[in-house]
Amino acid sequence: MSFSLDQGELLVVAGPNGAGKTTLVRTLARLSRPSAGTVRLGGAEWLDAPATRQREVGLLSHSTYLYDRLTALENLEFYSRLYGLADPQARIRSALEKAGALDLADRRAGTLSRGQAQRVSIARAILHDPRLLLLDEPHAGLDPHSIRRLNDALADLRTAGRAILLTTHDLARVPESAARFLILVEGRVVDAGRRDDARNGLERRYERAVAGSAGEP
Amino acid sequence: MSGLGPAVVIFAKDVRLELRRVESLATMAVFAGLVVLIFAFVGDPTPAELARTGPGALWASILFAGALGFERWFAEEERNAALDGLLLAPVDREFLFLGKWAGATVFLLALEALLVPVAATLYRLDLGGAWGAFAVLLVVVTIGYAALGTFFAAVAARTTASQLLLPVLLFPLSVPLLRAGIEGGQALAAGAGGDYRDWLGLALAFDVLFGTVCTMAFGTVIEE
Repeated sequence: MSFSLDQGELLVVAGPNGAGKTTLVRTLARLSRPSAGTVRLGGAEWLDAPATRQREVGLLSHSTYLYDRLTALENLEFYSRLYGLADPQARIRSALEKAGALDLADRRAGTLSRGQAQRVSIARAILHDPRLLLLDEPHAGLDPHSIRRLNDALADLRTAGRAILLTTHDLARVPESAARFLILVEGRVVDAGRRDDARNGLERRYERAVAGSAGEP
Repeated sequence: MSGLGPAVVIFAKDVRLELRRVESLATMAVFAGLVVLIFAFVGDPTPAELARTGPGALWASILFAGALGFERWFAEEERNAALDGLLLAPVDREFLFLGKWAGATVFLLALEALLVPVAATLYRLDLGGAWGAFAVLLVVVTIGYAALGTFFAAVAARTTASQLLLPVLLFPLSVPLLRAGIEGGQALAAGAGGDYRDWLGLALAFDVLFGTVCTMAFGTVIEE
């Protein structure tokens, strides 16, 4: 596959289970090494770039990356120290606010529900204000109110010039601010579209692509 | 963040987590104490035989309890895939290893602080004025063992059979350290300072060699 993502753009990668969405996200985050191909970030080669450039990327995954025995606040303090962030308390508060998780700050991560942990994890992903935000099925486990809040936060981040790549298997949950779509099936981009034509058949094309991958007529 | 800072941050986090589950260290201490106790009953030993086998029983108990500890300490990173959270940080992976290694060393030394008085009493270890030298040996051997344990816990954690794989990888490579700990301790008990220095030197060389190799190779073994 080959695609680009501009600053201030929200790209949605949609695909059924097993399409390769998580592999794509992990590769872009440098958690998995591809067997072939290149990735460029900010015009420079990315896969072999120094570790210090890792601060340019934030990742929200299926896993929360939180330590169960630490509170949400302690988890974020740990990550802010690890990233060497200046003024960590202000950043933590801002990230928790954006993620709608301020009320969870003093709760131990191990006591949080799936949706609550996901909100804290969103705060972790945006804590260091990355230029590229990778979101792997970010709506999983969130209630409708939290989904709206997340989509609003993504719109703000996009307006602030952050590039966002979001994966989903459910086009109905895609934020309004998404401009472009890729449909991924079995590791290949089988279709692409823009927000403009999203309502003019993209969902049907997606369903056809998914059905085709499952061997349906 | 540059320099040793990330390693210190990870070390501090591990200490904080460990303090929130003191039952883990307590369980390891009880297990190690039982190993020491069982060895003391094998073959109905005389007081002289007890004193001779004491260092061996002590190190065997540390070896077994340490293997339990490494697996548990690394399991904390596997839960919620927190290890991936560390790998996402703008930190060279060598420093991630150094932080984990330092934590494991301190936890093992805490275990030994509980265990040595028990072993010394049970085995009637009389080192006279050589307890300081024994403490140095203990620290040097522990540093090397913690390096190996942390490294192989990371290797094993990336497999589906981590509990089985860890001791299989760890124990054979720990033999030189175990030998240095046992023989060095026996040399101190016998008043043979020269032999002690030889075994201490072996343990130090092991620390430098395996500490370097494990640190450099860590990034590769945890990469998918």
